[in-house]
This record gives sequence, C-alpha cells and structure tokens, in this order.
Amino acid sequence: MTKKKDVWDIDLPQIKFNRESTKQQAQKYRMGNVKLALGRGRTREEFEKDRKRILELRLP
Amino acid sequence: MDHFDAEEAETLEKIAKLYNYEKGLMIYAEELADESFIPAINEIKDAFDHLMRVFSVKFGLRERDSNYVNDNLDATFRHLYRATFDLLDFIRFLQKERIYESVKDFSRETLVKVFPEYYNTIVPEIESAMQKIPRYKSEKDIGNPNLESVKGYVEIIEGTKTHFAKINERMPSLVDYENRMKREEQQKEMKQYAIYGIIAIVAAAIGAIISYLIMTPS
Repeated sequence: MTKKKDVWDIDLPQIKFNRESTKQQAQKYRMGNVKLALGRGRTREEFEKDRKRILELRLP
Repeated sequence: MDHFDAEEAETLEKIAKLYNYEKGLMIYAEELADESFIPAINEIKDAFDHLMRVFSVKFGLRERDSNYVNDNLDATFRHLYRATFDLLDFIRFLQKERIYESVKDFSRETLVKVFPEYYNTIVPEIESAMQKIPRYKSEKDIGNPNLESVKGYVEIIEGTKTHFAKINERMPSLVDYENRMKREEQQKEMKQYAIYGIIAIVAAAIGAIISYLIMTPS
C-alpha cells in the first residue's frame, strides 16, 4: 500500500498566466488579484523580451 | 504551541526585515508597470507555503524535528530573497525605460543647457544601476544571501526614484527651451529660404537682361 504524501509538504503549482485567456474568462478570476483578473500581469518570458529591448535603448 | 529557539527567531527576524524591503519594491513595481510581476508573486506564494509548514509543526498539527523547521525557515528566506532580486531587476529596467520615455524628445543641447544634472548625475547612476544590481539565476550569482546587500540595492532604486521627481520638476523648462530652440531654428530656415528666393529672382532678372541685350540687334 502506498503511503499518502503529507499535503503540507507538496509544493504549490506555479501561477501560469496568459493575458488573453484571462481577459476572455474574466468572470472566473474575479475572486483573485484585481490586476491579474484584468489581464494586467507580466510573466518572466515577457520580461525577458522587454529586457533585451530596454538594454538596447540608449539614453539621450 | 512550541516556542521558537534563538536560531529560529533570528531567521524569522531576517524574514520579516526582508519582507519589508520586498513589499516596498512590489508596490513600487506595480506603480511603475501598472501590472503585477508574476515571478515575484510565485516566490511569495512559495515562501508563505514554507512558513506555514513551520507553523504546522509549532502548533502541534504534526510532528517534525528542528531540522525540518530550520530547513523550511531557510526556504522561506530564500524564496523571499529571490522575489526581492527579481523585483530589483524588473524595476531597474522599468526605471531606465521610463526615464528614456521622459527625455527622448529633447535635444542634447536642451538637456545640457537646462538640466546639466541629467548628464552629470542621472545617466551615470542609471547605467551604474544596470551594472551593479545582479540578476538572480542561482545562489552563486548572488553570493552569500544577506540583508546588507539588499539594503544597498534598494538604495540604488530609491536614488533613481528621486530622479523622476527632478525630471518632472524640470519638464516645463525643458519644453519651453526646446520650443524656443525649434522656433529659432524655423526662423533661421525661413530667412535662409527668403535669401535663396531673392537670389533666384535677382539671378532670373540678370539672366533676362543679359538675354535681352544679346538678342537685341545693335
């Protein structure tokens, strides 16, 4: 018989955020963070793109 | 409830101090981006989870040894530490972008004349923030996790924050000087066009006279 893993020691899943699907299904997210429910979140992947762009900006 | 021993209490104090920095950065990042930064939220969620594992033992909900408590307190600190560095990294890029957006339409001459501090202080400090604050990719990128380094990096961010106020303060003078420069430039161009026009008319008249003289039989 397999021993059931203690729920305390199970890691929580990471928040997977998709701007478009969040906006389309806003009703489902209305209990959580307001900004996220409005699709206003920045993922690591999006930031990586921003970071390359901003790194190339030369301040006047 | 089991009390925290001295070592555990010390880690908890570090966690509370670090959370103070992290929370301030998170609020500021949301103000700048008008968006929530998901990686930092994930780290805080994990930090909270590890802290609750500690409380589950301390409140007698289950039995674990002191190593388990210390490991989870350390994990709480590490997740908050990573959230803090993710936010520092995110903010320094946003700050650079915001400053770029604020001044990109002004000529170099306007910035030098009206706002010398921009080149003397602001640009070097922004560039230095881009160099000094490390990215958190693994433990070795950050070295020994400590609150002093976090404090130093937060001060860099705070320093740049004050530059926004200075730029906003100078904005009317910058716009005024830039407009005056453009007007003077336009007037100069108009004068030049007028001179070219006069030269063209005079040249045409001389040409007409010469051809009249050549064509007219003597």
